[in-house]
Amino acid sequence: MSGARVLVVDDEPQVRRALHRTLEAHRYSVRTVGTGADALAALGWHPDIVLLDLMLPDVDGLEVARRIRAASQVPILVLSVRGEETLKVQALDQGVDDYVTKPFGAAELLARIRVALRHAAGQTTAPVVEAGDLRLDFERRQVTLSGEEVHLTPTEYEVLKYLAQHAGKVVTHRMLLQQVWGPAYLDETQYLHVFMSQLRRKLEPDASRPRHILTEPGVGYRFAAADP
Amino acid sequence: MGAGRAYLLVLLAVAAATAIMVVLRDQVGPATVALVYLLVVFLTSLWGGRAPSIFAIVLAFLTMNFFFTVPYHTFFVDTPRDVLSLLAFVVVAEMTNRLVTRLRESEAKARSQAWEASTLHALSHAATTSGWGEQVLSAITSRVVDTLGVEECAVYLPDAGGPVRLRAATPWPSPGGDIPASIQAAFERGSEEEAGGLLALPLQAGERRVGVLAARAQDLPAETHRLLRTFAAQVALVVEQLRLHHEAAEAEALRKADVLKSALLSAVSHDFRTPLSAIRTAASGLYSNGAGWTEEGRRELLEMIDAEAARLSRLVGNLLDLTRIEGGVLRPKKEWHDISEVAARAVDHLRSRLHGHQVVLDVPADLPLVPLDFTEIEDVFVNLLENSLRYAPEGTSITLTARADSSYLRTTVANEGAPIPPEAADQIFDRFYTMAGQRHGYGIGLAICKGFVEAHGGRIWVERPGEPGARFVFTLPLSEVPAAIGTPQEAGS
Repeated sequence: MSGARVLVVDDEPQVRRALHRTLEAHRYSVRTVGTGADALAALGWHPDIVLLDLMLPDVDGLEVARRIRAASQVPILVLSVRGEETLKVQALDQGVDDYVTKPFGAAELLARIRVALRHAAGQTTAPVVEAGDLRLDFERRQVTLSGEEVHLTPTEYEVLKYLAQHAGKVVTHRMLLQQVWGPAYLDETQYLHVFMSQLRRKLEPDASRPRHILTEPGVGYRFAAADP
Repeated sequence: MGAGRAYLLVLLAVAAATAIMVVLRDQVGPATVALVYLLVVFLTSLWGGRAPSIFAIVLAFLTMNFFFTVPYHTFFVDTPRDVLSLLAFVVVAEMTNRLVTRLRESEAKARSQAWEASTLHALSHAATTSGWGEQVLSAITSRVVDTLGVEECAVYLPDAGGPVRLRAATPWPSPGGDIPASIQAAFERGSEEEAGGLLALPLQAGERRVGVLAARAQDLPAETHRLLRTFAAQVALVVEQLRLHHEAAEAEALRKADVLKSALLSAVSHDFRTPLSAIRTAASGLYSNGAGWTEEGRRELLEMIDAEAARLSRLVGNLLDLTRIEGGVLRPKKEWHDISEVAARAVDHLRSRLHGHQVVLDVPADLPLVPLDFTEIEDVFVNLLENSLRYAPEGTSITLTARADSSYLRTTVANEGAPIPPEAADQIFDRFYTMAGQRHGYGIGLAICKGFVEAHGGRIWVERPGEPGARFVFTLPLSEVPAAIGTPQEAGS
């Protein structure tokens, strides 16, 4: 993925500088802008991924995300601050790909960028997903944990499949409900949590430290990706 | 009863009585005739009022004279007996009339006073029990419409020094309407203004003119007008009271904010300075010339910068949390979570600072799911753990226990540090509380724990204060776990 173009949109010069240096050091080619208008103008540079701060001086960040999405399928990673869960969920449900919460560590950011680029490149429809001791075989509809077959209900299987196909990316409650249960169940978040806890019981040896299905508080779940 | 109709009825009654008695003229004596007319007069004054009954007396006198005194069918009277009868009739009839009228008047007055009293009572009740501000005013206007039978009622109050503004009205007018000029005039002049069926009464509380009460009615009865005036005086007092109360609350809020601000500043400057100075020292050390940094040394300093920056970030998070708690806008976003996951995430969060302490998680696997805001309860754990890290000596262990009964989850964070003195056990949760002789304050961490736990409907306290080791306990209410959704295809599996 080296050499991929990253467009950084943040109104803080220090953040732009730090991101510029860090990403450059990891051999990305970087362009930074401070406003929504400049971000939209920079789409002509054809970035491979956009890092977008939602708090911009000129245009609402959500609006910028919408306009980028209208113009291109480039993955968007939101740089948000703590306490903006509602905003994050809104952005994700609007087609933003993922988020990192400021202040974030470089390792976390780089991992998210890699995942987003991988998904954008369409390298995720593999017939088999392996994550540690967990193995999903989509062709045979088979899930094994340390070689032992795990018996899942059809719905549990669908949920796991959807999460695994988006490995490493956050999946909001609404996305899961929409995808697996259908649009009539979009608000059944409370039930979803109970359901997920039952699913995890079958997959996670230690409930206190889940390794495969991670909780994103107030937002959704994330299937832990095996980071190559 | 319309006035014309009353006279007509009197006319008919007298005519009917006369007709009957003319037929029976030979059998009835003059006394009977006088009594029957007296009855008519009596009934008239009872139902028709004073003027119609005077009309009845005159009419009865004339017919009696014309039909029943000899010579008949003339207005001449022959015998002194008849003269006396007629005179006696007029006197008795008029006296009856006066008595009945007086009776009626005092009865009506009593009724209206009782009505007025109950109306005023209902209105003042509405004013004193409807909570605050605009709500009280709306209660007042709707009461006026309900009880005084006016079409509309509105209260206008001035903006600070400016013109009056509509604050409450029943029914609420359609938007965009201008304030009638008479309202502003009533406010400025302090006089009653009436224009186009709209009565504007100035609200006068002592020397201050506090607003205008307006009522719209067709043909406002004098009685209602008087009641409105009495009521306006009451409303003025209520409005003035509201204003004073509001001012006092504002002053109190400002005072509190001031106390909070200075406490916050001292806490912030202390808590922020430590990580900041560590960062500054490490960073400047790293780029100082001539220092022969080993790879290991460089790495350690960089890790320190990273960890201290994370700590600063937590401090900022805590300040934001505290503001939210203080602002009373805390609405935990409850989701069903496994408490062990929340606790473990908190422990992992502090991993980089745990080296000296051992953390033991004692959480049974079969605990029910708990409705909680993951981030907030994680913060509670983090703050309790941080507190233990700070006060328990290195090398000791910190134990995190969770148990559930039928209605509560009970969580304990215990360390092997110095006991918490019983007298401090409650205050310790106050923000910026610092125990005597302690260099560090408990600062805001425990205040945040209390805020979050209570927002969840739980409680937090120090268990067995005074005994060795500090034990913080908090509870969270449990509720019935909803059944998971399934799709129809699940039915068979």
